[in-house]
Amino acid sequence: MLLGFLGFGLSSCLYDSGDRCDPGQKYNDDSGLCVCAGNTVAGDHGCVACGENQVAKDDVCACVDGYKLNGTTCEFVPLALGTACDDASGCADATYSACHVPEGKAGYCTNTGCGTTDDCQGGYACNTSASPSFCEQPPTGQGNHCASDDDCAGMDATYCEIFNTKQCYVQGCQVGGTDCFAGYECCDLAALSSGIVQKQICVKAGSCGQ
Amino acid sequence: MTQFGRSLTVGSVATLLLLHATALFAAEPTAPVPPQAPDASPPVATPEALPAASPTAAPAPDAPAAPGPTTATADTDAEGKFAAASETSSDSFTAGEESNDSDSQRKLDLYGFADFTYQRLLIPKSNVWTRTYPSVNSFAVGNFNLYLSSNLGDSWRALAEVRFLYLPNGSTNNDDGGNAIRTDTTVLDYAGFEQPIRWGGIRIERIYVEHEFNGLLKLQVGQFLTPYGIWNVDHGSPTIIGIKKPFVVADQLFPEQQTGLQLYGSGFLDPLEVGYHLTLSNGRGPVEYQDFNDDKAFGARLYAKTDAIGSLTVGASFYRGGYYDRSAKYVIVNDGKGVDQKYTTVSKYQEMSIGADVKWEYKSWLAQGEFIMNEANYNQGARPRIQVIRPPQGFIADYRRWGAYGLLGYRLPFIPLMPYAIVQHVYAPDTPNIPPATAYEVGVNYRPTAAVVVKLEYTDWRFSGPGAVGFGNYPLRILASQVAWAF
Repeated sequence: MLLGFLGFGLSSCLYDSGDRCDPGQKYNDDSGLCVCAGNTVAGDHGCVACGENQVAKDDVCACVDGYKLNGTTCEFVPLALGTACDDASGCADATYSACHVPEGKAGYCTNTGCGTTDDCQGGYACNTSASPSFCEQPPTGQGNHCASDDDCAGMDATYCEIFNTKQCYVQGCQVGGTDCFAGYECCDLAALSSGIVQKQICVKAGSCGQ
Repeated sequence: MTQFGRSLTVGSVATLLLLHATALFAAEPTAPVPPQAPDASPPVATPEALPAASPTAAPAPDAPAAPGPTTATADTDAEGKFAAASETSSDSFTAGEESNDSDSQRKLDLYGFADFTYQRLLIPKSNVWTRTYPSVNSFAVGNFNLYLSSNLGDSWRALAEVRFLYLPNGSTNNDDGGNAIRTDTTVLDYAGFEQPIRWGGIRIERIYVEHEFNGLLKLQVGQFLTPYGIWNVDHGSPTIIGIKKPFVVADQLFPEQQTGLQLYGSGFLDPLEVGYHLTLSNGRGPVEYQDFNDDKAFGARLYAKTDAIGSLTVGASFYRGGYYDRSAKYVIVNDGKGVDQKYTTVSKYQEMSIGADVKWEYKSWLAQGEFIMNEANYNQGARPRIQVIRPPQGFIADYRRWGAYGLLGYRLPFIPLMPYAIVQHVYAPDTPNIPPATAYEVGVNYRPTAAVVVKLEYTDWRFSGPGAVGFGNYPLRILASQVAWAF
């Protein structure tokens, strides 16, 4: 009777050793886990497909060669764009022949004469306040996820806004000035926080106070 | 063995002898009342034998017939006391009815157990287990369980068991960065001078009310220990032989408790006693009192027992149920005119468990063993993500885990000492960090009085693979000692 009882249990098996994972996943013997197969990475509730021009690598979606992450998308970055330079003689490419040297920073090769950001590539934006206008390199680290200023250290965007967005921002801008990246404006956090946070940071145009 | 290990061993043996000598001098008489099985007919208990009368009288119903340790267990103790109390209380209740003063005659029995443990790892400091094994080189009060039982009259009874915990203080959770974040429950005591104190928790082990229709049919409703095998029901540290549960029991291949209904009973087919348990419950889940998807679990246990060749019990258990965990978020619906809750599945699977057990007491020998298997099949898109320190990240896979243990003990004739040996094996792929492992344990269980047990145990774990994070590459040897007592 007891053996029959156990036999009933064994006959109602749920486990199939050859099918231990969801579609789009494969069993990894080393880790003992179902890992994402193909061009997907592990999300909170299953595998998430990488976007256009992205490839799954070390559990994250990384840009394929020749592309650079701008926000959440990978944009094509011509090889010559952003090459380090000291002056125009260092920029041999016919298109990206201008060397822009920001104050206190290393120079980079870019193109001039843009009318709008649509004329720029690789996440660069058209800086029309300069003459001639040129495609400006976005601040490094801007928009990166952070938990403290330590996570933003070594980047252009050194301030970690921990209360709301938890992202790195460029700080020290002039309210009403033109020292933020194209498409961005200077936002006075002191005014928004009743003086508690004495910071001025560059945010996307129109998003200050929202 | 380390120098400390040697000194601990020598000290423990000396302690055992001292306690035995004390016991001999004390010559504390205990009533030789047979242990009670949960489903056995209650003994004709006298009020003098009631457990809750006083701390010294408390262990009386558990007292073994022989002076050495017995296989009677805490749960058996609890149920025995439960039954004994109910029998007497029933008499009181009957008398009360006649005197129209029943409520004043009803009694609440309080009893329980606790244990105190010290364990040390006999491995080099460079071994990773010295940093990951819990409660090493520490004095620790592990269990402090209180039973509350009462006869409610007319074959109705109630039993509750709660465990008092230092937890959550000191427990750790790992964050995404691999940091082990320790919980700190320190608060300032307003009743004093706001000095810092730490609060702990209470865990409800079980609480139910029972009605006995007859010996073949008893019904429990509430939260009960899952009736499977031997060790899960026999969980009181003073009465189990070893210091810790076998891993296959601790890993809960069957859920440890369930909330719902349990039917049980037994009958005699000479020379066999045949018994059964049937359960219907919420099953395993993240919340004890809520079944998120109305997927009820059912289980059963059958056993046969005979006293023809010592006391031999053979049993088999089964469980089938679902698990569902979800997160919820309030969202605005109907173009902003209403609010609703949106669910996201965190984890959802179906599981099945089977177990077989045998227990044989013959003269001074005790042999018992259990085999348990559990398997789970996750719904598509409902596998929880496992946070791992070392890539790749991934999701828990369907699994079949199993384990078994065997225990052999011999009660010495002249002193209440039981040397014992345990061999256990576990395969737990649901926890990839733990490789397949086999443990060899030897120990002694010394019972200076019926209510106090001193244990010393050496365990050698051997792993047959590295596991997902390489823990299996390191040997694990544990020397543990414990004092457990019933009150």
